[in-house]
Amino acid sequence: MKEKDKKKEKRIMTEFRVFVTDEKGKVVRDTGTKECKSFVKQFLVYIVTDLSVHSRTCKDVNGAEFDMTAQRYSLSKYHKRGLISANAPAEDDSYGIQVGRNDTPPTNEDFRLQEKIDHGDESGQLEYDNMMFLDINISGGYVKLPFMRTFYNNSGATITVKEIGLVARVNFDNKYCLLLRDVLSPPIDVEQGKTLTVQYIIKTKV
Amino acid sequence: MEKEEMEDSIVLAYRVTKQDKKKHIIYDSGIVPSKSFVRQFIDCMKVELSDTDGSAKDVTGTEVNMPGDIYAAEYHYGLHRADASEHNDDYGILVGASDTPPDNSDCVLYSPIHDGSESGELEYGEMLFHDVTEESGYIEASMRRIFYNGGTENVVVKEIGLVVNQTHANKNFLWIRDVLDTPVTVEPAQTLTVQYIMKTKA
Repeated sequence: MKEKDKKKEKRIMTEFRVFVTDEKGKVVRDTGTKECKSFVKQFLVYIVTDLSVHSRTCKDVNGAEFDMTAQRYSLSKYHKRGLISANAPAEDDSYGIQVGRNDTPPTNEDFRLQEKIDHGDESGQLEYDNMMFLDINISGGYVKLPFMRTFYNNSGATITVKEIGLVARVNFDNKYCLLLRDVLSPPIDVEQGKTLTVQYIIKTKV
Repeated sequence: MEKEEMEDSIVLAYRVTKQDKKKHIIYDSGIVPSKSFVRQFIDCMKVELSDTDGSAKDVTGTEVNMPGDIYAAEYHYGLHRADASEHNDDYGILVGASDTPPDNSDCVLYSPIHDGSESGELEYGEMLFHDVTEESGYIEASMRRIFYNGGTENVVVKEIGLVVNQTHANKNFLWIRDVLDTPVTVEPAQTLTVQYIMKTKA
């Protein structure tokens, strides 16, 4: 590889792809794979809290600051997961991949989607399916972690999606924090009866 | 900004400094871009985000299971810890003596330098973590560790890395490995400081 090309090669990347399929599963609209803007502040707060085992201040999706708990003691048994989870089930729009209708450019300080589209089949809503984490794969020298979520439009009218994001549930505190936010350019329309799929890929390359 | 000028989603960098016995900095690598996270970082992130079991190669090269969700009582931490105490060379920032180029599949430092004051050893300090701050439009977090040469011979450091303890499996996994552009010779009574920096910018 030429030295000039080597310098442009990214090593830690997050990408997204958003596409719409019709009732037959045919892709009718596709952004193609695009680079994410970046992780927002809460992602680094989580990393430092986790690695240091020391609480750090974080902002939840309501804009409220809280101390992200790094350790916990319980006399009784409980389901212990990691510090955060993004494995939202179907119909739960409080975390996992979310979609919204605002195109305000992302900033480091974003703590939620600007205008989240809620789950449901009412006007302006999309039906959130469960999060899916695909197998880690290696291609093009990158180690890749893909994950995705689908959103079905049963609202009766076209919905325009302008922003996407990833929200994690903070398990010890039962709070929700934004990790990623991107604005789609151009926005993507999801007609009645069609399904939107949002896929993220985190990839690294030494 | 043109696409090809966009930076990584997470800018990962390191800085290595050396101090003499009077604490004067006598060597500074400056901020150097890290090669990247290695495969185990992705393996660990999947377990964390998905709440499901996964597997990865630990520092012994053994593929081990990493439970995502365990049903248990007592004291619990997050899924990953790097808060190694002094003299603990099992995890946290580690240093080594090999200059084999990094690879996605690296699971250990090739030639770890162990804690101690014997020949070829350095005394590991505790891991230190800095608060998340904002600098020049970037959100930045960093961690560092010092290594003191309490022996009587020079120790040459060629590789550095970050090993994380996955708490459910209680195994250690390499997340980052770098080979220094210029090896650093740590003479008796000198101190090496290794700092890893992570930055993001939306």
